[in-house]
Amino acid sequence: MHALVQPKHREYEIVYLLAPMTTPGAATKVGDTVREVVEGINGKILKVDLWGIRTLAYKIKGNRQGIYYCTRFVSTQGAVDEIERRLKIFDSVLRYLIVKMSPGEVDPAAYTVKPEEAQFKPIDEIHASLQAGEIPAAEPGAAETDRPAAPSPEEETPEVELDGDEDEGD
Amino acid sequence: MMKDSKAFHRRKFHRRKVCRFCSNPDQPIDYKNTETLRHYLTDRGKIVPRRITGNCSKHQRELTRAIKRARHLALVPFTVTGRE
Repeated sequence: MHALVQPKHREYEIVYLLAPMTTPGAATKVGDTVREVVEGINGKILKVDLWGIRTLAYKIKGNRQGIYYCTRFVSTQGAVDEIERRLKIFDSVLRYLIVKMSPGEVDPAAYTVKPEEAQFKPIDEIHASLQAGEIPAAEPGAAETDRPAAPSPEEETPEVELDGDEDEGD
Repeated sequence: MMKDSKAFHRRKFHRRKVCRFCSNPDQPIDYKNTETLRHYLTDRGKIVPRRITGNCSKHQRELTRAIKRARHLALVPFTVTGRE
């Protein structure tokens, strides 16, 4: 008789990026999808972070800004595959990235979760300010503000030391 | 012969570069921490080689992985061309 192999639980982190015009309802739906899959296999949501609306380093599907969510959870590889499959269906999800945080197997029961940390953070305020025009949605040149700072030579050089092999003149 | 000794003299005073992440283990390499990553990007958005930064190969690999993850999430750019 072949014994069933128990799937291993590991700690993961997912960062996903929503289009700026996503409605609060749609954002909640994405968050609920992650929660549903994770809790469906006896996993745990450890923490949900809303980074807020940020200017993107480059345009994605015509969007210059995006709403970032970061969620830590404990689940199995199967659940991660399922989350990826479901996130691909959402039009509002511009990008996602799931990263393994623990090298080995972990026990979900060993984690104590603060309910307020694991709670989904709605985007009502961001949506309202976008609607009110307080945050310019797609202003040309907005991307420049968060560019890699086009650092001035003085700023960039502290750790950058060119090899002394270059001809420095006699 | 003269040229050789001149080159030797120049090298003698060359300051040895140390890996910042080895000398300060508290500083994590994280794809979410774009401020740290940007120190290792040129103004064009390219990854600075370890020949220039002095990073050890282990940390340079970690850093490269973090930068590539951050690029995927549009936290740092792939390239900066100066035109849209």
